[in-house]
Amino acid sequence: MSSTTTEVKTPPTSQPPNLAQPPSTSTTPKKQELTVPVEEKLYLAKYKLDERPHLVIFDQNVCQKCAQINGSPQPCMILCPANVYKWEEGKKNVVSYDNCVECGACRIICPYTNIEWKYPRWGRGLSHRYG
Amino acid sequence: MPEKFEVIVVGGGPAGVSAAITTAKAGMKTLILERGDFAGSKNMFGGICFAKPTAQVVPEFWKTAPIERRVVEYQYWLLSKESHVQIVHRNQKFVKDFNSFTALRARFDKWFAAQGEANGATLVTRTTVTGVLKDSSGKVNGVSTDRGDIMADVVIACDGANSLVAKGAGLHAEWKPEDFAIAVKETYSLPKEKIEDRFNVRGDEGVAIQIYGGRPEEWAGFMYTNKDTISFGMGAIMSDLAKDKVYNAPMQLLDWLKQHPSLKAILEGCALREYTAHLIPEAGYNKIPPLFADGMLVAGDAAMLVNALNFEGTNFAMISGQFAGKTAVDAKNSGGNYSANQLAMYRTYLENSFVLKDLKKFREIPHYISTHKYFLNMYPDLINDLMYKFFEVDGRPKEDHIKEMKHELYTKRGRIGLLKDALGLYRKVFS
Repeated sequence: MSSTTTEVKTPPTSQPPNLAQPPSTSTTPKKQELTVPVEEKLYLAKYKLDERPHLVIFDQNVCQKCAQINGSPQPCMILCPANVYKWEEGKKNVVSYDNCVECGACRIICPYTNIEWKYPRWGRGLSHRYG
Repeated sequence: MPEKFEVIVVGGGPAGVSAAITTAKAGMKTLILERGDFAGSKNMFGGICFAKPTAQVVPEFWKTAPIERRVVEYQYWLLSKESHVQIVHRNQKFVKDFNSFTALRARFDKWFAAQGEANGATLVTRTTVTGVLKDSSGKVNGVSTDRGDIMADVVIACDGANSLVAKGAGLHAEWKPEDFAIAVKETYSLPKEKIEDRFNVRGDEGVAIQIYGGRPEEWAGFMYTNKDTISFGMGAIMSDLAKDKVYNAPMQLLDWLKQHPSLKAILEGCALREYTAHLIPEAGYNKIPPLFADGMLVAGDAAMLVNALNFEGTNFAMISGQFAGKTAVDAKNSGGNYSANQLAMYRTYLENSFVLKDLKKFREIPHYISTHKYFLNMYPDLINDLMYKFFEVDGRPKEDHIKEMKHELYTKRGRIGLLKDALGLYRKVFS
């Protein structure tokens, strides 16, 4: 995200997210390296931050339960094309809403409707140059 | 007292602007509310618009519209592990009798919304609609936005695939993951001369490519040539992709596609300019939500009006938007009756046009394909193997090759299976 970003972000990293799991799951998430990390691609976009998060997890306990039932990565993490959701230390769904490309996949795939999903306000968020 | 318009159109995309042009032309006081920085800034699609439906909304649009290339050639690619079979149809008639063109939404929709303004509609950007307002009888009579409320006789929701406005108004529940594809797209820059060389085109000729096969998931890929960029991406049914159990499965699938030997050379040396994603309604006719309510109409992606089989969406958006606009004009002429009863005419208009006729015709196919996945993940392999054996010269008699081809056909699917599939597909398409 380029010059218009109103928040200083940490530089993109090619390290895969922390894939620590709750002990009860049997699935092993595959660590696949992408040719270009998504964060690097997102830096190409024109982006203006809405300080109010437009994506909010209603209840972290539900994400914990989801990890136990569905394994990790959970459906939102599998489907999100912009790495918005990360399962940290096997207990918290950390939402980087400033990565969001506003597609809506996470909201629909969440089996527990546990994501409050809005559009950013006042024209903020992602702005396409090509589209 | 909040400001009042006769028509509020939510969303400055192909459906919304088409609706607004229609109502504004008829003299209705029309407002387009666009949440993006400018119309088109939040929009994404694969790549092609269709000329005739576009001309139905803006006659002779090609004189001013920012079109990228006129499509002269359509291709299907069926992938296998390290091969592909390509079906190509190139025809100068597609150019002479203008059929379709490649475009970039951020440029095209900006121009398109300006046509709405030129016809008398008011465009307000950077304003997100957060819900609808209803009067005491339950009729929709305006919208709430992040800048305040605005009243209207009728609200036309063209807010795209997420369809939050119609959902908020209670027209339909949350979408199902099996009915939607998540699509990711990358736009690459490539000099004009290189595009001409790699795709065998000249001047403003362009190529449209659909890609299938080679993976267990239900997916489809696309590649379109623009002036000096290439649109490239793929979409996969969400519920299917969720089974992949990896972080960012859409990007993983796109990465696999990019590294396929058949595609690698085309994209070589291209510089990535943009990466983005979008949902595509795939479920077709059987799942279309209610299209109208008291004081409200829904058009385009928001109403699931997409023919995913043939990658047609913008034309469905434009023409459904136009009919929604026409219905609003009818309602005004009927003495200002904006009840659901009056607005039901919208559905009739759509049923009598290609919009619902096409979707109805192919209504069984989305379900058929998703319950017969081997059409997408077995047949492409099989066809590739057969072609290989057909072309292979190895010193053995051709009779042996034919025997092997037969053997492969019969073991992979069986004679009865093959017959069933051929008949099944034939019935779904032609009967």
